[in-house]
Amino acid sequence: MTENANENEKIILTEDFESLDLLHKLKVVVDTIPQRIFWKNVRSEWVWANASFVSDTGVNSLKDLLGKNDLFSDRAWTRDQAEAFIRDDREVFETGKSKLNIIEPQRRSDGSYAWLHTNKVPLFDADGNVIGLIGTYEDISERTQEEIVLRRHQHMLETIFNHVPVAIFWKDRQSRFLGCNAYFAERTGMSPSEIVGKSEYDMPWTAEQAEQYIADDQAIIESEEPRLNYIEQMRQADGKLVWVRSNKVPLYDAAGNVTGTLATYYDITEQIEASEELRRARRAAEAERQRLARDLHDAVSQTLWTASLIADVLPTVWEQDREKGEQNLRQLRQLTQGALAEMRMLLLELRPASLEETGLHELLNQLAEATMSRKEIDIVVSAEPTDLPTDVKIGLYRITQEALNNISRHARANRAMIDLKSTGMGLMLQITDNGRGFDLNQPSPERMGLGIMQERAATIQATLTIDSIISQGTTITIKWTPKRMEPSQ
Amino acid sequence: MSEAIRVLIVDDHDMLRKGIASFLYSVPDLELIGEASSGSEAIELCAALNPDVVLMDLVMPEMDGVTAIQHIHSRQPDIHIIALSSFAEYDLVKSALKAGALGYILKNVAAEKLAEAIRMAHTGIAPLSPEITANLFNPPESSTQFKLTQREQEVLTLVVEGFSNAEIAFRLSISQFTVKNHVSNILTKLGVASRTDAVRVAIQNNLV
Repeated sequence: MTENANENEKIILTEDFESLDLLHKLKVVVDTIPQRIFWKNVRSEWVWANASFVSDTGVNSLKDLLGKNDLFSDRAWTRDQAEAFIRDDREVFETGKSKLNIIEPQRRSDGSYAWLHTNKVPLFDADGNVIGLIGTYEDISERTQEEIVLRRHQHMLETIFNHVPVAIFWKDRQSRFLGCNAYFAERTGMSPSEIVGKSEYDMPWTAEQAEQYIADDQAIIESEEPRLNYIEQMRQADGKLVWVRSNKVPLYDAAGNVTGTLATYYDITEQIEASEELRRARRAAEAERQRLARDLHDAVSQTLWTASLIADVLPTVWEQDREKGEQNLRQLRQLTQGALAEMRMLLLELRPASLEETGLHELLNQLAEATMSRKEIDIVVSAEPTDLPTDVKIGLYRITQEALNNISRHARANRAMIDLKSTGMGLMLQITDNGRGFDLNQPSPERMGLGIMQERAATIQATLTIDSIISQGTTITIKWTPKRMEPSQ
Repeated sequence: MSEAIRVLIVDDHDMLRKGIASFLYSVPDLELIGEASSGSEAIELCAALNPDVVLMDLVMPEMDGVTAIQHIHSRQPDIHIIALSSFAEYDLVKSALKAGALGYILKNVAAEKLAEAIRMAHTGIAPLSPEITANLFNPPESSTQFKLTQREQEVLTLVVEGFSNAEIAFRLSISQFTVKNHVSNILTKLGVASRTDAVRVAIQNNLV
């Protein structure tokens, strides 16, 4: 049979009965060897098969197979498999060439799967026409299983090697590149094969960096100590300056001599930039807090100083003018109360948690009181306790703070009103003053404050509108509605 | 008794102006002739009232005190201006005095001393709070003393902010080796052995 597998040597079948007889004699031999042997005509119907083949198909005798093809039953193998077998047959018939060393799965009649090593060789008549084929196969399940596992491992390693977002490359003792993965190659602007034999100076980075990399290699080769998990910066072929986390280890030959280095690195630019972003945001928040605390501290000390100034002269004033003295006493009371309000504000600002714990109506009252301790202005607060998400509450508080700042710095008002009321689903906050007003279309210091308020309103998804009439005053209206009532809340 | 000293007070803090007004009322030789709540108002009132002494707050909206002092001093050099502030920072004191303030009094002064300061200013003697005098003779050391280069100054600022060499390299777009060099130069110039000490010295000397 192995001779028949030779493509150049065609089997010529004649009507000669002796040949058939010979096959019958050979039957004894072929029925006892482990190879399965079958003979098919050009319609892929079995003409003959040895006993082991018959047994594989799950039928009782050869007679049950004759005139049938692989599709005869789904007991032996699945329809897909049968079709694949027939396709292979057809290829052999059409090309007139053997199909050798096909490794294919086959479902056994007991339901288990086997790996087959199959050969199919065409049969010709005297005129050179294909009249069928001889097929053999051997069960190589055990052998194949091991090969498959190995091949899979190899494939997986190759996949990882070429797709992992980590640069991998290795170099000889002179820091010449011996190989790399696709990721590294891409970053150097070369192909993995182009890299082989190149030096660090051929890479897109600066000579200073190349020198450093070579020095790193040499240190590792000499000390035989790996250098792990260090951060460095590098220039890619696309000109981008990136941050990478690197590892470099010595490579050894079988005799234990260092033959070079293996290095890996991955890009951590995003993480570094994100942490910087975070740090910047934290610093900005901290700076804002410091500024507020400083302002408030200044306000408290000024108020207390004024109180002490009045107290200093009170006895003299009292002696000179009793009515004036009583007026001073009232001022003193107002100042000390104001200082208390400012102290409370200061504490709130210094401890962000307490700002979060305090209700909005209370915060608004304290803001008004603190403002009144500095300015001759009467601020009426009308606010009911509300239950708001913390960010919304803080947002509204900051807007009110900014509005009162604007009023006391620029508006020259003597009356103001803070009105907080619920409007069905949401709420409305209005801050009104009777000051000098301003032209919304003209640049003015008020408008800068308004920008900040608009930004704050936008962050909490509230709308902020401003109405201002020259010499009549300004009204700021903030409307907020919860985005959607969540069923769970 | 000679004529009372005519005083103008400038402060955006209403209650504080009221307090000073009460105080001035109690001192016979001092007379309050006007109140302004901003720098620009102060300039107008000075032109209109020609006070003897102005008590000028420095941090105010619209126009700050230093700018107002400059204006008033250049047009009416005979008006004696006392900067009245709660801040003792060297730079602020210096700019107020440079702008033409005769004296600088902190808002922690006792009533009696404030009256005295106004009288002094009226006679042309510079009234200064004791803390201010001390500050003026001990100006904060500036980076020029340590002769840091501009790059070293930038690196130092980032060191103080807590950035690592790698991060500083990234921000300044220079290599880590260059940063290392800058840092060691900074340590030498500041006369310290460690980064932590450098941060301490930098903060103490207002280098950043």
